[in-house]
Amino acid sequence: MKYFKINLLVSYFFLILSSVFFILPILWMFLQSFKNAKDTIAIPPKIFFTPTLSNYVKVLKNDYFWEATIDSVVVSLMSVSAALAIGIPFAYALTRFNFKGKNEIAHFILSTKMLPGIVIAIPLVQTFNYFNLLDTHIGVSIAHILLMLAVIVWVMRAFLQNLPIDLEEAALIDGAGRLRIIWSVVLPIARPGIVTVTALSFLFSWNDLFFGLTLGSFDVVPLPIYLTTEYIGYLAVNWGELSAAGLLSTFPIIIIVILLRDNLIRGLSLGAIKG
Amino acid sequence: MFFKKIITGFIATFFISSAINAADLSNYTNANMDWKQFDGETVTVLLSKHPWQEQIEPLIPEFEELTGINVKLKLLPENQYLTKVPADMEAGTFKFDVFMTQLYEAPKFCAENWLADLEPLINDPSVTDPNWYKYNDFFEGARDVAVIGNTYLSHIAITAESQVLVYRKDILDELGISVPSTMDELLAAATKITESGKAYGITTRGGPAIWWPGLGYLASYGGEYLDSDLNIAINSSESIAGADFYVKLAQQAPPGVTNFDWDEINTAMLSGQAAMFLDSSVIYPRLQDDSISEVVGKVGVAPFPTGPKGAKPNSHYWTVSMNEATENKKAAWLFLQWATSPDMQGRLALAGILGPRTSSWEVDGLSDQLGDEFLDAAKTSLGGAVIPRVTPGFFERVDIFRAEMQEAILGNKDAASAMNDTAEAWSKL
Amino acid sequence: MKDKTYFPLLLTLPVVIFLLALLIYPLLYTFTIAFYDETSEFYIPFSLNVFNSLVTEERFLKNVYHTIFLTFFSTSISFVLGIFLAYCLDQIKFGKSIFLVILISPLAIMPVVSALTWRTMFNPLYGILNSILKYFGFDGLEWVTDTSSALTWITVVDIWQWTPFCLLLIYAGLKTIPVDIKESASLDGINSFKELIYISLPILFNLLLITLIFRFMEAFKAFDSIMVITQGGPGNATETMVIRSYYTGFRWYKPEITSMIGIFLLIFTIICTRWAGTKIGEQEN
Repeated sequence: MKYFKINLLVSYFFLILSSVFFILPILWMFLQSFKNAKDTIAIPPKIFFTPTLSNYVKVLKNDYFWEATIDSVVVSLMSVSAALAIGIPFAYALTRFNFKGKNEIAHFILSTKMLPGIVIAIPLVQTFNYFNLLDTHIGVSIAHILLMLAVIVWVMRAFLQNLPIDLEEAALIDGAGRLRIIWSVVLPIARPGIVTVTALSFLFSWNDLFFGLTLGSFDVVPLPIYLTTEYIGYLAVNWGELSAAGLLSTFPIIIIVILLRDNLIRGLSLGAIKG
Repeated sequence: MFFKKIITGFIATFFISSAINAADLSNYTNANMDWKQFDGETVTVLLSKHPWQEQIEPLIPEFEELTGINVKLKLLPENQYLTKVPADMEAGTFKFDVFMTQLYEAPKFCAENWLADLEPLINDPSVTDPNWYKYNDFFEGARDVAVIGNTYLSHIAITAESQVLVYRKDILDELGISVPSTMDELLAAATKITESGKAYGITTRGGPAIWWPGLGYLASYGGEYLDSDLNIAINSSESIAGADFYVKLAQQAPPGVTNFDWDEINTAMLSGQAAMFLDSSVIYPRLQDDSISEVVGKVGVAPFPTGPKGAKPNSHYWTVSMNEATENKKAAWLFLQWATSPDMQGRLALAGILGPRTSSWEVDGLSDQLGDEFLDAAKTSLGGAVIPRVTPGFFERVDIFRAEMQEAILGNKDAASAMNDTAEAWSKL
Repeated sequence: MKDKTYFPLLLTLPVVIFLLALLIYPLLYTFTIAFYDETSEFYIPFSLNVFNSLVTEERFLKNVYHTIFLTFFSTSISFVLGIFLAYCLDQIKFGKSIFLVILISPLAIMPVVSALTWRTMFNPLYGILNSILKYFGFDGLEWVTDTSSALTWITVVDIWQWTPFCLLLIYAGLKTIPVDIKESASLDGINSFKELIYISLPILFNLLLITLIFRFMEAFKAFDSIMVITQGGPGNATETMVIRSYYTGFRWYKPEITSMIGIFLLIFTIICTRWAGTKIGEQEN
């Protein structure tokens, strides 16, 4: 019992210590978002100041902020759902079947994530232009699929390998089709993995600056491009509003994390089934 | 009401926004040409975030009213602008008609034929009234920029900036320092102020754009980056002396100077941490804006100090160009012409955007708006200003210069070896 | 379940074809201009000029060193820290959700915005970090403005940004381990840390490997934060291969060098991930 307590104490100690490190810049953004313009650039930096909500009010009253948010939401939802719809069955096929060229296909998917966007930007823009996808939500969504597909396929592959296959075999004997097995047997028990890759994929899309910049012009302006355009001037950064907008734009992510948290904390009681 | 008060106080965030005169289209309709000939067409415009953009953007509806042309505008911050334009140009998918350009990229942009030749349009009476547009009203320097790198007429200047000395009157008075008029006095003053602990002597760019103020120091010591035959002159004894001076000066700047870009040098002045500033005149109106500045009324302006070979500040002209792939060049030219017309540049000058036209410095009310001290200093500096010789690979050269200068400022090597190493790297390009 | 059907191909081939359609031209383009030789008289103009000039250039060798430094330290530290924090999180009873939210919050902030925030925090004159140090009586640091320490702090920012990624995947992995395995371990008197090392981690071996691969690739490609914080400076102290490829491609108009660097990156990553990737595949047979 004594070991158990020390263990707990050490865990809390390191969690608190790391939390300070991980929260520090966000805390600073939080403070900046409540300052007026002079306070944001005061020297020495101010920790105590008269807070103002004007930054938040201005951001929320800005129609373009909402337009950019809608662009981001549309692009993220399209790319994440499409990537999951093709990625999870793909991972399933890799783990449950043996077929020729399997490893080559898996490595090819992995390699789509290896080349940095900057290196292939020019020919990629040309390709999107060829397919008439420039400055469209579908075009940016397709580019975002490139960002997340490898993660979905390979992480799901690792998760699915750990899942018991007895249930699937039972379902197969009962005469269920493959797609039905994926839908009603595999998906439910792989939920922690699916939720995790969904959240990560969403983040990859939500935070991407590069493809939104090079593939979008007028009709698609996702949040990262809008935030930097609106709040970084030629002469200076509008820290108050940038911080406020930056924090506001994490709102959809917070919702996703809350959903994810429920799934994660509950964890799995799969052991009983497998046993 | 509380919120409303705060919001109104916030409106002038980036720049003193003196209200630009309400629309008076008669100054445009009096041109001897048909503004309405492209009624209903669309012109797409891409601008980098810049004080010029901030002032002209609200006036674009006037152009739409004048011509019936629909303007589609896109803005990007400078860093992303400098990614998007080359990426789209190289890919051949650049779809904007009119966009801001940097004269330093002219050799590449013209060699690739990415920019339209504007000369035929300027000479076409159906779309240009020469007596109204007055091309020769542009400064000679601005007209040189239009064809820089011995190319065709492709860049029309929209701003004229050069280095001026901005200083804190109160600190200089308190320490009994007179306003520096030579480089030696400048360094002595900066050192004295830093040692006094009242503020840092100077704030200057030590980050990516160090080459911009850098040329002013080199030139005032008789040096330059490339000589008139485009041979490397960065390691001549004059250039080394100028670089050495800049290194010593930068060492009187606040810590972290090697990461100082526009934002940082502005912040250091606005918050009162630095006493002198020797960079673009664009900062001055900002320092007088009390919603962001701690030093309103405490700053003075003087011309660029004199070095052994005179006072030769660096200058900069932002320019606008037209995409060669533009379908309706004449409609796009109407926009370009409107944006760079004498009347428009005069109005922008009153809002603090000093223009590249002689007439824009003689607008009624300009000295009330900006003060004679500032105007004289800016005029004197611009009069003696230099401009870098532009060759292909300009940005690669100045990047090497930047890295070497930073090593010198950090004390890792002396100015002479830094310049010699720069020259050696340049010779390999 | 190893029946012979066309079902797996039905699931994989369309995706592969779709990706090939998008990427075949960029790949051909990259290889073509990297090895293009305009003076060649052969049918296929091919030369190693770009390759030779890069590998003999001192600056590029520094770029490689910076990339390896950043990748190695950032990957290893954030990976180990991710495992450790996931373990701590698994141990505690109260405050799980609040710690989880805090620890993964860096992922939620857009990298451009967080990098700008780091940049001001690092500022030796008016940054909050030096203010804190001075409040506790220490001297201020130079942070990213000195050639000797810049890369270290860039690495710290990368660790800050990506440890949550490792933590999230590993923590989710720990949650899939059947409870009875843990229970039988604790009945056997094995303490929880040993249980992690000898039981949980081996079960999660594949997941750990794949986490490591993606973490490695992201560190290797790190761009946004360096570009915002130092642009590769001071000197060239934080110029990695990707930063260099940005300059050559977009500012200096030397796309052949950008492409060559891209090929280097591709080959490096393939070499480094091939073994791990194959290892993961082996379990399925």
